[in-house]
This record gives sequence, structure tokens and C-alpha cells, in this order.
Amino acid sequence: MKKKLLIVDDSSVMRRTIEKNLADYDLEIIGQAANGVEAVQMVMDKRPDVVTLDITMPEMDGIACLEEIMKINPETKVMIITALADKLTGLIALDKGARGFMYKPVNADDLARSFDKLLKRDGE
Amino acid sequence: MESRKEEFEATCNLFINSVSNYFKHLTEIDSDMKVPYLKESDGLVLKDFTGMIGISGSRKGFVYISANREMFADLINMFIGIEDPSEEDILDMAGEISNVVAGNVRANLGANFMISVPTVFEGMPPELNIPENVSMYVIPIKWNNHEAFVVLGLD
Amino acid sequence: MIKRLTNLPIRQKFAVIIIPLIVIILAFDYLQVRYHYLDYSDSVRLNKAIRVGIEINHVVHEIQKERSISSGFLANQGESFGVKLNKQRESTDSTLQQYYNELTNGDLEDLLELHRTDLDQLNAYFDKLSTLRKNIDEHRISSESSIDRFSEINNNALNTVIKLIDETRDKEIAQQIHAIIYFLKSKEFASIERAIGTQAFSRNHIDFTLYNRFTTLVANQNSYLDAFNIIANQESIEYYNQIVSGEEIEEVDRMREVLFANDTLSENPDHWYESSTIKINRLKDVEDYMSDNIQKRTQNIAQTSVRNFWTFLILDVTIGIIAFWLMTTIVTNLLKNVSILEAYTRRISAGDMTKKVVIPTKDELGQYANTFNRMVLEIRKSQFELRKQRDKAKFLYKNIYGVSLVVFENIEQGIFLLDKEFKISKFHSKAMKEIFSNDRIAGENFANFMRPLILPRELEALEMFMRHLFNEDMDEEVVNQLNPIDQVKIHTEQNGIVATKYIRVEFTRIFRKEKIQNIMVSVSDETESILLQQHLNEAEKKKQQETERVLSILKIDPSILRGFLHNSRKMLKSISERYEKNENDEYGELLSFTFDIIHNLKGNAVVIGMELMANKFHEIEDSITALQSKEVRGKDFLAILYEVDEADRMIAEIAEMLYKIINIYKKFPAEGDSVSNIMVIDSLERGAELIAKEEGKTVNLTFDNIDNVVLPEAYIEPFKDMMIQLIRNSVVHGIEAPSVRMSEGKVIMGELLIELSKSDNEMFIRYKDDGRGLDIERIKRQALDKGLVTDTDLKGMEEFEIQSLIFREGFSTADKSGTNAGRGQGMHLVKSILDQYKGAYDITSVDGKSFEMIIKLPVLNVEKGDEE
Repeated sequence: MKKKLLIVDDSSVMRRTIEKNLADYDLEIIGQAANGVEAVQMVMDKRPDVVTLDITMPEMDGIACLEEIMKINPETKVMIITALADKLTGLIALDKGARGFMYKPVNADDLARSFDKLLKRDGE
Repeated sequence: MESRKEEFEATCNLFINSVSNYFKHLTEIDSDMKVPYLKESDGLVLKDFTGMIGISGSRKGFVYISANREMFADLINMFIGIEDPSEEDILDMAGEISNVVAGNVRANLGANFMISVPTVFEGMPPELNIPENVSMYVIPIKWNNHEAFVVLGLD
Repeated sequence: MIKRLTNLPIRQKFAVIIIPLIVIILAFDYLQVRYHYLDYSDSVRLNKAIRVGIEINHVVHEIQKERSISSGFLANQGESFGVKLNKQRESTDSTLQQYYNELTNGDLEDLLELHRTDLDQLNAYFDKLSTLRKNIDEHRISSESSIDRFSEINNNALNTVIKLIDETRDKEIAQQIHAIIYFLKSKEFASIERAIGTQAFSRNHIDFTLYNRFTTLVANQNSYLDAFNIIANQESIEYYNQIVSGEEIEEVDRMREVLFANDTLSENPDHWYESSTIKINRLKDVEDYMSDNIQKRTQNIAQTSVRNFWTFLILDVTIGIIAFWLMTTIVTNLLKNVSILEAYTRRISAGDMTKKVVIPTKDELGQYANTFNRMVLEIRKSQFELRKQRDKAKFLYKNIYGVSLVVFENIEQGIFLLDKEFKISKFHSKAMKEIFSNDRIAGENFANFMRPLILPRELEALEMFMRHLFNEDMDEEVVNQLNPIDQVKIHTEQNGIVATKYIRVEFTRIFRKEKIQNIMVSVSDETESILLQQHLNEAEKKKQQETERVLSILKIDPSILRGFLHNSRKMLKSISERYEKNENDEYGELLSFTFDIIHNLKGNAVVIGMELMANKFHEIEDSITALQSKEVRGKDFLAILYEVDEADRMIAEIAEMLYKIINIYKKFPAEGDSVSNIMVIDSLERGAELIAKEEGKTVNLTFDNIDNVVLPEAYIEPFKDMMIQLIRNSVVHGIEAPSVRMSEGKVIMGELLIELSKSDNEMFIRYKDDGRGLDIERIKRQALDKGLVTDTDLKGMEEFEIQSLIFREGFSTADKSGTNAGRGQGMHLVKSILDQYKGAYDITSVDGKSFEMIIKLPVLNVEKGDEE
């Protein structure tokens, strides 16, 4: 069964870039969210298996969003993709249950490598 | 004196490298830095869209990353494959570059430097908060037949 | 107790086992020997006793006969038995004598000693015989009484015999002795029966008392005989049956029947007596036979016992000796072997494994020794193996561990391992102490260790980070992206001095069996490079102070300085502007453009004596020159631009200083101009000196001002600029080298003269040197080289026209590049200033003697000019 993917980033260009780069993966993109509030709603409605999550976003930031997602479904594999270099925030994200972490800029190869790891770990 | 120069160069290079890395990493097209020059605040001419990153800490200043609409459109086309991006997409793209560059530079500048979240504007900035006695280095970068400016002003 | 026993040395253990064993054997021997000895002595004693007993029985036998005869003699008042009685008495005495003789036998002493009382008593009874006989002879005693008297003696004798012989350890013999005793008693009763019968037959009748007695005797006799028959051995009984039978015995029985059946007896008492005597004698035979048997038997037993005694004694002693010898041998051998083993083990425990242990026996110890040797061999082998391993380990230690230790000792990085509790490993590189100024490192929790050094936010992040590092589910790369102390500022304290350091900390997972075992941490101190920067900042501050100092020393006329600064800024700005306009990446062109500007500025700086800026510009020149030799890229201009900007900044700083100084001067306006004049001359003097020094020449600048001309502020800068160019020209080109001057008879020190004078509306500046004057040919060549004129032009030129070529733009006659040499500016500057200020000039050059230039300038108003 295809894994369901939700892309969360306030930049639509970034969202679409991720979408394009993950096209070859056995993933069904169930939606895109531009902020945390939208993302939480979508997680609640569509129950994605994998979420890519930006940290700096308006309305609700990535960390708060991550917490909410984990409350809804702790099994969700969350991949943080951010340009924010603050280490503590990144570590907090891991603490809150994020499974992957990437610094922007991310290209297709970076995404592929990280998603291979994320999905492999998931499969185990 | 030599080392201060080196530090200046290192700081410049952080931004220049971050920008060129962005291009190289995501588009696999090399960028080329052109001859830089100095500008005073009243003589500054920016491109169509500009992301501004403030720097604070032991040295204060700012960095502009500025380019024309065509360059951003080109990037969007490469990333997503759409030919005719909206105004919103262009602003989004400019913001994303500035965000990434700022994020990367912050990771490498060390504890004495703080970098603000970039703001994006079209045309000339509504307000140039440039301190006096700050030389502005305009560093033109050529990428894929587009010219982008990295403008660095540090006290 | 048992523990004490088990802890005894082997020797004592053997003693514990063997001594009781030997004691038991000896005890057994003793018992055996004693048993046989007792048997022997018992038999010997019994034999003696029986010998004595036989003698007594002989006596008893004779007394029995005498009793019967005496009884018969008394019963018929001596009518019969008289002769017989005497004969019998002799016979009795003879046996008695035999008995006494026997008692004197030496070998009986012990027996006599033992039965002294009994025998003394018996002898006393025997002694009574003579009294009894006397009483019989005189008939003073009744027949019955005599029988009783005799019986009393016999009874005592028999009892003595019983006492003598009834003491043996041999059951069989004891039984036969009892048989004899019963037999003797039976015989005694038979004898009394004979006596009673003799009495009765002698009286020819038997009364009731006698009859009763007779029957009792027969009954007693028979019951003893029955007892005899029960316990006597078959041999004795057969012998008895054989001997005590036949007519004579039947005759006794018949006569006994007679006695039972009749009151009146007609039988001859002699006949009774004889018949009974035959029977009793037969009984005596049986008795003797039995005694003889027992005697033989006891003798036999004694002999056997003696034999056995000796046999056992010899055998036991032999066995004892053999046992003792065997044991001693075995134990000695055993102990010897044990002590060999002991010595060997001691040697081995001392580490000497070179020899084998040799135990000659093939017992367990021998096998142990073999096993031991094999073990030792194995130990030696494994020792060899160990030594090899140790050597290998040593090698590894020296070559690898040693190296890593050396690395740990010398590496500038702090390196250590963290365990799952975030504890710092025991081994860490020495640099850790220096980096953290802390001795307590090993075993510390790394978070606690860092707590006083970093910000709480960083610490929080670090703890989270380490937790994730040990989390196998988390990808190392992902986690490492979030290292919060990748680069961090720490504050260490040593001896109360707080030092700030910049460190870089990196983490690597160490796996063992696919599990995260440790985290390797490396710490680099980057303080020095960062501190260097801070030092430079300080140096810059110092430099700033230096600038101020230099400025004050130079006493450069503020107006001249201001002009220089203004000019410099404008020129520097033009560089950036040119860059901006750059379109076609003509990098080489841009570089030479930059070089020209910088070079010009340098010249000005030298002229006004501003070494600081001259040096700075020279540096920029060098940077440009360095770039010119390689392929230039856009990026390279960043460094030049930076230096240009820096020069600009310096100028700005100097301008700032100047502004302050001018403010000071403004407080004293009256003296303003003259002060400026003094300063300008001062700086020109300095300039001349500086240039001459660089050219390897010496000059003296004389300043004449007879009219006390005060240059207005507006003229100060142009005046100074012009004079500097002239001075430079004179020193570089006019004034000869000292050697040349000497050969031409000139004073080595070149003379330079500046003279000020004025008329009503004109101001005159006369400049003169005593050099070689203008070299017309060289000017021509230079002008041609620079393309300022053509050959044709030159041919149609007057001398003064050729001289004027030196004021043309781009003319420079210097061959070498130095700070003072003209690069096409020089005299042109003088000309352009004169043009600007509407001045005029005149040149007089005397070949080999002098160069002179007179400058005329219009007199300005007294008010200060607006020129800046």
C-alpha cells in the first residue's frame, strides 16, 4: 500500500519542489499545507504516514505542529526540512518525535537519501 | 591588518558561497562572481526582488540578496517545471533563497553573530536602515545569464 | 579436628597412618606369642600338676587298699589281714615316699609355690596315717571309724588333685580332667565299697546301717561313673569297657548282689577283697591310662605351644620386620618422590621450567611426574606463546598503542569516549586538560562537565543531543546535523582567571557488535585564530593612536592635508565607480587603472610626508602587482576593494583628526596663516629629506622670506604641491649622486632654495637647485618614447620649448619604480596648478650647474579663500 505523504512548508515553491522530487517514490501525496494549523487539520483528516515539515512558518510553527501531529498519530514519520540553523530547535524536534532532519537547500539527491533512510527504518 | 581583511573576505565568502552553493546544489549550474564595487546608501540600485537579512552581534550590518524577476522565474521553472510563475511564486522563491542563505550563514558564523529572519520586498526597499560609515560592497553574481547582487554592509 | 588432620604435612600423615598400624601388628604379635606362651606354660604346669596328681593318686590307691585291709582287720579283731596289712602299709609308704620324692623335684617349684597351702594340708593328712595305724594296731578304733579316717585322707588327697589339675585353658583337656576327677571319685567310692564289703564279709553279716551305706556307695559310685561316661572321650570309655569287664568284674557284681540280698554272709572276705581289688586295680589302670593320656596330651600341647610360640614369634617378628621395612621403604620412597615433586614445584613456582622432574618409580607419583612434566611442557609452550603474544603486544603497544598514547599526549585536540551515561572515558587526550583547564575529566558526566562552561540553552541542547546520539533509531547523520556545541564559546577558570575560549566539538558513534558502544568526542580549541582576530582589533586601535601620533609629529599643514585627503577620497571613489561601470570584464585594464590611481595617491602621500598612507598605498600596489601576474577573476577584486575601502577609512579617520585639529587652530585665528606657513615649510623640509634618503642623496633646503610673505590659505596647498613636485624632480633628476658631485668638485650635499617675495599685485616663488640642470637629450628621448612628440616636432623646437616638455602630461624620466619616481604626474601637476591659479613661470637651466624656476602668482585678497 502506498504511504501517504503530507508536505508542510510556507513556501509554495518549496512545497512543489519537494513534491516533484519525491515523484519517483511510492508515496501518495495527500496534501500540502502552508502553515501549522492547516497541517494539523490535514493530519487529522487524512492521516498521512509521512510528513515533511518546515519549522519557520506563520500561524503555528513547525515544533508546535509536530507536537500536535504526534498527539494525533505518534506513528507518523516526520521529516524536518528547514533553513533554520538553531540546533536546540532541531533537537527539540527530534525529542518531540521527528525521525529525520534536513537543512535547506535540499536537492533531489538529498531528499532521496533521507527518504530512503526514513522509509527503510519505517519498514524495519 | 591582513587578518581583518581575511575575516572580511571570509564573511563575504560565506554569503557568496552560500548563494553559489544554492545554485550549484539545486540547479547544477555554476555561478560566477563578477567585479565587486563599493556603494553609498543613496547610490544603491537593487534588482526587481530583494531578500534582506539583518546581521547583529559583534558586527552589525545587513545582506541583500537581489535579482531580477527572470532569474527567480528560471529557478521556479527548474524546480517545479512551470513556465509562468505568479507574483506570489516569485516572492516566495526570493524569500526561500534568502531564508536558506541566512540559515546556512548563521550555522557558520559562530556565536558572535546573529542573523535575522529575511524579509522580501519588490523594487527598492521602503526604508534603508543603513548605518553611517558602512561601506556597502556590491557583489554581482552571474548565474545562467542572470545577474544577482549580494550586497554586504558591515560596520 | 579432621581439618587439622588433613592439613598435616604428608610425613605426619604417614605417621598417623603407619604408627597405629605398626602398633596393631605388634599388639597382634604380642597376643599371638602370649597366647602360645600361655598355652605352653599352661601345658607345662598342667603336666607337672598331673605328674604330682598321679603320684597322689598312687598314694590314694594304696591308702584305699590299706583302708579296706584295715577295715577287714578291725572287723574280725585282727584274726585275718594281719600279714596283708603290714605288706600293704609298706606299699603305701613306698608310694608315699615316691610322692614326696616327686615333690622335691626342682622343676616343680612354681607349682609347689602356687599350691603350697593345699599340699601342706595334704601332707598333714598323710602324716596322720601313722597315728591312725597305731590306733588300728591297738584296736582302739572301730572298723567304721578307720574307714572314715582313711576316707578323710583320701578325700583330701583327691580334692588336692582336683585343685592341682582343674586349671587349664584347653577345653578338651579340661573335660578329660573332669572325666578323670569323676572317675577318681567313682573309684574312691568303689574302694570304700570294697572296704565296707570287706568289713561286712569279715563280720559275716551286714547290718542295716552298713547296708545303707553300702547301697549309697554303689549309687554314688555309679552316678560318678555315669558322669564319667558322659564327658570322657571315646577312647577312655572304650578302654574302660575293655579293661573293667570279664569274670573278675562280674564276680564283684555277684558278691555285691550277695551283700544286697543277705543279712548273713558266708563268703570269704579275702575273696571279696581280692575280687574288688582286681576291679579297683583295673580301675586304676583306666585311671593311669587316662592320666597318661592327658599327660601325653599336655606334653604334646606344650610342645606344640612351644613350637607355635617360636613359630609365631619368629613369624611375627619377621612379618613385623618385613612390614616395617616395606612401609619404611615405601614411605621413604614416597616421601622422597614427594619431596622431589615438592622441590620441583617449588622450582617451577620460582619460574624455572628448564628441567624435567625425574621420579624413578612407575607408581602414581611417577605418573604424576609424567603428567607434571607434560603440564610443565604445556606451560612452557603456552608461556612461549604468551611471551610471543606479549612481545606482539609490546610491539603493538610500542607501535600502535604507544603511538596513540603519544598522539593522546601530543595531539592538540581533546579526544575521549562517552558511555551511555555520558561519562567521560578514563583515557582522554592530554589536550583536554589544557582546553578546559580542568583536571577532573575522567568519569565525569559530560553534561555536568560542560555545565559551568556553556549557556543553559546550549546545555539543554547538548543533553538532548547526546541522548539522540545513543538512540539507535536515530540516524547519526541526522543527529550530527544538530550538534549544539559544534562551535561554542566557553569560559574556563584557572587560578581565578577567567579565560574565554572558542572550541569546536565533534561526535562520532563507535559501534561494537552493531550496537552503539560509545561516542567518540573530539574537541578543538579554535581560540587562537579567533583571539588573533581580537588581537588585531586591538592592534587596529593602536594603529589609530599611532595615526594620531604620526599626524601630530608630521605637523602637516592642515590645509595641505585636507587637500590631500579630499583628493584621495575622490580618487579612491573613482575606482569603485569604474568597477561598477565595468561591462566587458576587462580585468587587466581595471587593474592598471586601479594601480595608476593608487600610485598617484602614494606619491602625494610621500610628498606631504604622510608615511602611513604612503605605506598603505604601497601595499595596495603590491596586491595589484601580485594579481597582474596571474589570471584575474571577479572575485579577486573583492580583496582590492576591501583594501581600497580600508584606505578610504584611514583617510576618513585622518580627516576626522584633522577636523579636530582645525577646530583647535580656529581658536587662535590671528596666528592662523603664519602657523600654516611654518608648517608647510617644515613639511617640505621633511619631504626633501625623505626623498633624498630614498634616492641615496643628501640635500639641504633653504627657505628665504625677506618680505615676510605670508601665503594665504588658498595658496598653501597649491604651493606645497608644486614645491613637492619640484623638490622631487631636483632630487631624483637634478642633484647628482654623491660620487659624481665629488668628482665634479661640488659639495656632496645638494642645495635647494625656495625664496618668497612679493610686489603689490604679484607673489614670486623662486625655486633653485645646484644640480646638473635639465638634460635636453634625455628629455627629447623620453618625449619620443612616451609618444608625446615626433622627431619632426623636435627638430622644429626651440630649447625652451623642449624644456617645457617636462610639464606635459605622461612625461616621466625615471627608469626605476620607487615611491618618489615620477610616473607621468610630477611636473604636469605643477603646470596644471599654475594654470588653475592663473600663474606664470620661467625656467633657467645651466648645464651642470643649476636649475631655476621662477613662479609668479597673483596676490589674493586678505580674506580667506572659499576654496576647499
